[in-house]
Formats: sequence, C-alpha cells, structure tokens
Amino acid sequence: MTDRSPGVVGLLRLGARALRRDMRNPHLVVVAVALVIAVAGMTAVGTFTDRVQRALTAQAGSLLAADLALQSSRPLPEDLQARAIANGLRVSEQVNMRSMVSHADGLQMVELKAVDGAYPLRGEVQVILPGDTRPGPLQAGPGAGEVWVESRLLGLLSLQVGDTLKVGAATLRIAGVLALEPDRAGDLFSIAPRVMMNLADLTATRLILPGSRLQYTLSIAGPDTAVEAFAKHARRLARPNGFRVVSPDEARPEVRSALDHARQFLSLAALVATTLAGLAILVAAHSFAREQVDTIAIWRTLGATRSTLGWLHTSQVVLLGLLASMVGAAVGSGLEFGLSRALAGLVQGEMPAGSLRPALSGVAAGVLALMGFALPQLLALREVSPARVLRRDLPWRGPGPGMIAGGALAAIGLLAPWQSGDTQLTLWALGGLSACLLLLFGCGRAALWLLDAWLRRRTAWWLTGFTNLTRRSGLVGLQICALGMSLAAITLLGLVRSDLVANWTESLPQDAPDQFLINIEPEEVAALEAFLTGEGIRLGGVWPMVRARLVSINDRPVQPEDFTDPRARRLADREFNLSTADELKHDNRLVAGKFWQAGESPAQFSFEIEIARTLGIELGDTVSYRIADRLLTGKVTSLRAVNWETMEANFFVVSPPAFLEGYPATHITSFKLPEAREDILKELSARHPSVTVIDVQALLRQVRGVMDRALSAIEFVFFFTLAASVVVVFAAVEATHGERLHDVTVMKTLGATRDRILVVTSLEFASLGVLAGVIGTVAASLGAWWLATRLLNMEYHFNGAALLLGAGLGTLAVWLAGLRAVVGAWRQPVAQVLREWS
Amino acid sequence: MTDGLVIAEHLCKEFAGPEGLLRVLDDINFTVERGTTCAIVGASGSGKSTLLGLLAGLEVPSAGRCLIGGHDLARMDEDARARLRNERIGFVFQQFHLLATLTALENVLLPLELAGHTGAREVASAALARVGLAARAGHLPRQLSGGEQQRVALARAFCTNPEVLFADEPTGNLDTRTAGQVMDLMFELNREHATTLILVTHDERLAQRCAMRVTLEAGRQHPSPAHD
Repeated sequence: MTDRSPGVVGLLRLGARALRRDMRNPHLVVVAVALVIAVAGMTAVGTFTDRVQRALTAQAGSLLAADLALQSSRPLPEDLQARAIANGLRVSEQVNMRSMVSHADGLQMVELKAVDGAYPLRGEVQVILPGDTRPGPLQAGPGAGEVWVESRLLGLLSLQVGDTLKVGAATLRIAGVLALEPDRAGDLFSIAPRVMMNLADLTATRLILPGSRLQYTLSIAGPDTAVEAFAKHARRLARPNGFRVVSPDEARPEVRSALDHARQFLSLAALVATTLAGLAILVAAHSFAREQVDTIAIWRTLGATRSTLGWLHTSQVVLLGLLASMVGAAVGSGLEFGLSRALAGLVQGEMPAGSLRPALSGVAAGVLALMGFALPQLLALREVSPARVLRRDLPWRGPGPGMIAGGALAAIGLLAPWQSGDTQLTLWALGGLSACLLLLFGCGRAALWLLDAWLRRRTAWWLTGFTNLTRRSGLVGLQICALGMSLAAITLLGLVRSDLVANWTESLPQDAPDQFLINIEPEEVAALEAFLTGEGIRLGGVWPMVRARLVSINDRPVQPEDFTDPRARRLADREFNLSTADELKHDNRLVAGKFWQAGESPAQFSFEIEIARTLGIELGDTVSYRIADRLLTGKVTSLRAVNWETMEANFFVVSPPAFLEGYPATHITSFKLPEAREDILKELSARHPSVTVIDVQALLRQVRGVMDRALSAIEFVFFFTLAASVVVVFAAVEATHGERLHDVTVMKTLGATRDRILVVTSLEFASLGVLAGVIGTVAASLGAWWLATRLLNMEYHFNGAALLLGAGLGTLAVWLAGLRAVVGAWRQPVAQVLREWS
Repeated sequence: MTDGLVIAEHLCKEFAGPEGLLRVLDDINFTVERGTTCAIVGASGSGKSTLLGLLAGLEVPSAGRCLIGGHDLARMDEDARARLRNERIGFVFQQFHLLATLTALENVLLPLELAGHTGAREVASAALARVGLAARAGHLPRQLSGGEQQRVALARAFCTNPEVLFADEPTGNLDTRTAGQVMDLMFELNREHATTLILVTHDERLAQRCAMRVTLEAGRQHPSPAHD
C-alpha cells in the first residue's frame, strides 16, 4: 500500500539517513568543517567582542565614576534610589555647586562637590595625602570634617595641607590635594578650582538655600542587565521629573568618539568573520552539489519529485547546520576562554564573564549562514534531469550567479544586523559586498576571457595550468569571487585598522596640549605669548571667548521649555562661549555649507553639527545672541564636525573675527608643558595672576589608557579574523580536490614528471591568486576609502604598501594551498584513483 | 483488442549540437503489450538508450508521443512523471546506479520510502531475501561484487511491484557467468510479478529471450517491430 508521498517524518528520516551517509563525502566534510570554523569564529569573536565591549564600557564607566548617573537641579525622587538598591545596584549621591570658600582674609570661588561614602562607584580618585609626593589612588571620598582641594586653590589662598577652609558655615580641614577625580567630565573648562567634601558635612555649611544653583547626582553601578533595566525605568521618568540620565558613553565626547570607532571596528570584524564563513560554505557546497548530480538523477529516476528533493535538502541543511554549529559554538567558547586567559590584562581589571548569548547566536547564525550560502546550490539539484542515469553528458547548469549571490546576500542581510547591531553599517556593508561581488565577477570573467583568447593561439605543456582556468570558467569564476572577497575582506579590515590607529595616534599625539590657560584678558595676550615662546613653548593658537546667550532662531525667541531634549533645554538656558576663526581648524571638518573667506560679510556663524542638531538649527538659519545688552545676529553658513579626540580647545559656535570685534572677550590657549618644567606654571601665575591654568595631564593619561585598551582589543579581534580567513582560503582551494586528483592522475599516467606537474599547477594557482588578489585588493581599497570617509568620519590614507602586501600574501596563500593539494594528489596511486573515478 | 501498456507513436528526439540540431531518433512506432518482454537492439550510437529514456519518461520527445498505461508522458509535468516512475516503473542499469553511501537495504528502501509505503522495511528485506542477499543487507555497494550489486538493483526495481521494468544493458558490466545468473533472476522476477519488461541490449542471446524486438539503425526503426 502506498501513500504516494514520504510525509514530513519520512522526509526527515530520509534526510537524516542521507546526511549520516554523506558525512563521509569529503566536500560535505569541508562544508561541516567550514561551518564549525565559522561558528567557532563567530562565537569566539562574538563572546570576546561582547566581553571587551562590556569591559570598555566599564572603563568608560570609570569616567562617569559609575555605570549610570541621574542628574537634576532638584533633589532626585527618593524612590529611585530605593528601587536601585532593591534591584541589587550600588548607589552613590553627590551634590555639586559653585560657592565661595575662605581662609583667613582670602576668598575664592570654587566648584564644590559633596560626595557620600560610596563615591566613586567606578574608577578611583587620585589624591596626594600628607607625606606623599605623588598622587595615590583612593576608592573613597574625603572623610567627615575633611576636604580635598585642587593644588591651584592652595596657591590662590596660600594654603597648605592640614589648614582649615571655611565652606559656608562649616570649617573643614584640608586632608589632601585632589589630583584627579574620575568624573571631572564636562567641567574641564570650569573656572573655579575643585573642593571635594563629605556629603555628611553639607548641611552644616548651610549652603543649600532656596534659589541655590545645585546639581544633585545619583550614581548607579552594578550588573549590566540590572543597570540596563534601571536605565530604562529612569529614562521613562526623566522628563516628567526634570532630571537627565547620563550613560558612560555620554560622559565625554572625546572618549565617546574613541569608543564609537572601536565598536564600529569590532562590528565590522564580526561581519567580516561571518562573510568569510559564508564564502567557505558557498564554495564547498558548490563542489558538493556538483558531485551529487548523478546521485540526484537516481533519486529522480526512482520517483523523487522536485518538492521531495527540496524538502529533503532543506532538512539536511538544517540538521547539518545545527550539528556543526553546536560543535562550532563549543569550540569557539573554549577558544575564547583560552584566549581571554592568555590575554589576561588586555583590558584593565577583570574581564566580565562571557554570556551564553554569543554561543546561541553563533548556532542560529550558523544554520542561517548554511541556508543562505548552501541551500540555493542544493535546491538547484532539483533541476537535474533523470535522464543522466543513461547519459552522463547531459548538462546540469547548477544555480545561476544571481541565485548564489541572492542567497549569500540574503544571509548576510539577516546576519549582519544581528552580528554588528548597526543597521547603517549593515546596509552599507551589503551594498559594499554586492559591489565587490559584481566587481570580482565582472573582472574575473573578463580576465578569463582575455586569457582564453591569448591561449587560443598557443600550445605548450606548461600552458595546461592556464587552460584549466579558462575551461572551468564557471568554477574558477566562483573561486575568484570567494578568494577575492576573502582577500578583500582581510585587506579592508587591515586598511581600516591602520586608518583607525593612524587616526587615533594623530588625534591624540604625544605632544597633545595638556595645559589650558583661560581668562586671558586681551591686553595680556601679547605678553603671555612672548613669555611662553621665550620658554620654548609653542602655542597652538589663542582664541577669544565671548559669553553670549542664544535668544532667537529665525526671529523666533528661544525658550528652554520649547525643547524636549534635556541637553537642548540646558543649552538654551545658559551662556555659550562664542569664538572666532579665520579658517577651518585642522581638527574641524566642514559637513555642510561653506566656510567664510576674507572679505565676506562678517555676520556669519559656523555651528558644530551635533549642537546644531540638538538645538534644531539648520544651514541658512538666522541666529541671534545677546551679549551683555547688545544683540548679535548672523546667518548660519556652515556646519562642522569637530574631532574632540585632539583635546585641543574647540568651540560649538565660531564666527569671523570681525563679527565679534568690540565685544567683551577673554582668551583661551593651550600648550604642552615640557617634562619637569612646572616652574613655568609658577612663573606664569606670578606674571599673570588673573589667568587660570587648567592642568589636564592626568585626564590625558586616562583618555590614552582607554584608547590603548580599545586598540589592544581591536588588534586581537583583527588577528583572530585574519587567522579564520586564512583557513577559509585553504578550504576554498581544497574544495576542488576531486578535480585536482583526477587531473594529476591523468597527467601522471601520460608520463608527466612531478616537476612538470608542479610547474603547471603553480602557474594555475598563482594566476588564480593574482587575479583574486589584485581584484580583491582594489575592491578593498575602494571600500576602505568609502568606510573611512563616509562611515567612520576619518581621513583616508592611501596605503599602497598594504595593498601590495595584501595581493602578494593572498597570491602566496592560494599558491601554497594549491601546491599542498597537488602534492597530496601526487602521492595517490594511479590505479586506485582511476578505478574510483570510473 | 491489444493491451498496449507502452506505446511509441512517431517518436522523434533531437539534440542541439555544435552544428545545429542533431536528430538521434526519427519516427519510432511500436506497442509493447502488458506482460510481454521487448528487446531494443542496435549498434552503439543507434539511439537505444535515448529511446529507453523517452519510453520511461526520463526525457521528453521532440515530436511524437509516448504512452504508459494510457498516460501521455509528454503532457505530464516533471513531478507527475516522477510519481508515475515511482508507482509504475522499475529500472535496472548497466552501471547498477546504486547510491554509494546507502547500504543494500537502504537502496531498496528508497523507492518505497519515496512512495510513503507503510511497512517499507519488511518489503525491502523480503525483496533482498528474494534475490539471495539477505545476509548482505547492511553492506555498502562498494563492498558488493558486480553481480551482487545488480541483484540489489533488481530487488530495488521489483520491490514496488512495477507494471513495467526498463533495463539498460543490465549485463553489460558483468562476466558471462554472472550475467547469465542475473538474467535468469530478472526473467524469473518478471514472471512472478507479471511485469512488462523492456530492455536495451547488445547481447543477442538476451534479445532472443524476449518476445518482441525493436531494432534501431542510426536512430531509425529497422525494418519494423518484430515479434518472435
């Protein structure tokens, strides 16, 4: 009795049995191994990236002294703190205000910060305690009745450690000199020196009065998931309760920018690993499918319908995908565990524990990758004619380039956002991959056509290698695409990495300014420049700063309550520092509009792009500022992107110098203090007592530390991906093992010596390598230029040496892998191979 | 009234070659009645295997038509022809065409499982036992001799109780003694199952065992179907 169809269970049983038996097929073994390697790579990179990113975030967290901060001008709702504690989070409270302090007859405005005993939750405070000459790290604030002060306050009020300081109504003892506090974020250019006190003493100061300008901060730290959940809850309450939520990323633009670039690169690396995996699967699956043609003809002869074959192959792919991916995920997790142990210390402090998510994600991604890269080729087997059982010469066209590329792009399209977590990057990567594939396919075809035309007029034994390329143009075209893509991916990653490193090195060079001078009166500028120049110091520039309040945009008055964004509200509620510029600074990039030229109308503004977005200001808008009692109105003629990583003085809004002439201004400058020349600062303070010196040496060290660690993480991920891609290249060459074995055996039978076979195959593989290498590196170069200039906002450096190296190493890798296959084939006994082949 | 199970009417087959269309079969006409045996003979390249492929629905003719049990194969789609092959046709080939990665039993099971046959394993085991290979059920084809492989192929062909069996040079890859044994077995099974047998052969002794003969010369039928 027949039911006329095998049914779902029957199909699964058939698929499982065929898979179990086919697991002995070398091509399927290559598919499985490629998938294991791919998923191992994805899992290891995913896990490591996840851990490094979390470690970097924690590093950045030390810049906020917490994982999250809630800030408000009013006391924060008490239930927030209770909720955080209930959720297993650590909390710390701080109050910031500007206030006068006194000692003897001296009075000084200071930035007062009152901290509780839990402060800082992340990072450390650096304090010079009595008896120490250098600052030491402390993970606590000052004790009750004590204050820590910045060294310049000691100079300003002629104080010493141990003296008392009157803060409001309280008298507190100076217990140490504050060298660095982790969360000295946006206050870099605050005029007044810092005084840190214990929160328990705040009431005694009687400084909290109605109308006092205070900033209440509730810092939060704890496990990622709990912090994320709390942040989500806090953000919902932020607007109605008038507080803002600050994450480590938002703590400081220069660090955020470095982290953003690091994350983008790590995402790119994960995407490249996925693509390389797919390429290996694609090539091996193609070989497997070609070998299955005769088997499928028998299936069809015995009555298998196309839909039966379709479901059969789908079930095989899913089963194989699950099995190989689970093995890969286990291998990847083990590898990552070993690597992170071997690389202990790569990231400062303890690396966060790995989660199961990358492994599960790796398994799912493996199944998806196999379906996208392998299934189209297996599904094409449905079209095999059953008449092949009688006539093996009947052609099987196999999947068309469109079907192969479509499946691959669909898989990448689904996997990329998953792996990278960045939609924009995904879309561009897909576009780039498609363009690269088209370039490789088109150029590969053209090169093979030219080679074929050249070969038609020539005959020689050593040309057989070239003939092999042109006569198998379909398979060779696929190999060129796979190898070229692989080389393009590695080279691209290498180029972007170089650009990233160069960009960071350039943006924060060793001579980056570490001293800022502010409050320089116009009449002091010349004398101060002369003094510093005399000391051998080169000033980057002296810029005026005019305090101005934004009053209208396109004649519409600006009110803080007009904005929903808390940052925009703050900006609308405070004075800006306007400055001037003759030309665009080297660390500024024009994003829109045109920067002014000499002789143009001075009534122009250039806005930093992010601040313009925040305030809703666009190119061509008319903006008015109030300076004292005068109104300054001008047109926004350009928008700039500012590279905050340079640590140089930069301004959100600048105008032509003539526009601000006659307005009350102070000046700012910056310079790098030569080592062991603190005497210059003393002399400078003596000559220009009204000038405020801001020392950012410690801050620079901190920023450099974060960047160095991010760089180390990138190096690791890059080399892991590089190693994975080398394996993919070898797997791609190995996929043609059957053809190679046959060719070598026939040549041996006809009397070719080993040397001649090596010459022929060397020419074949070297040509394949050169073709793939040259086209791949050209594609990589275009991709790197595009990525650097359009996506990562970096300057592109053409790197001819890296391109040559990429093409050369690619050729070498393909040639070596090919030779290895040939030598293996040479060792096989002729009779055995011919018997098996027949 | 004739009981024509397999009917060829004005069958033509052309293939595209480097010098244009090549006609490999031209105006073939014959009827094979249910339960009979038919040998298709001719020199190499005369179109015997192509004709077998057309009769079995493995290919479609360029002109004319081929009917099995009244079904015009050219008017069926590929999946319908596949189902027809599974339900009504058995095959035996010169190269045996066993699936190399499946055991003897699994090879016999395959058409039964494709048909969703209940009790497939028992039927397949019985078929293997009938051809004397019960002890070799778990062996892979490469572990079997040529004669054994062809016997597995016979078990696979007959296990679905086909109405017609197509055999393409079934003894071409076997020595004389083994070929004789396999032929005897095939004709025995043919009688047991009352199957219509159409075979392509070079072997005159084999052709003589068939009730009917179709001779091809360069793609043409010559002179006309002969009934022995």
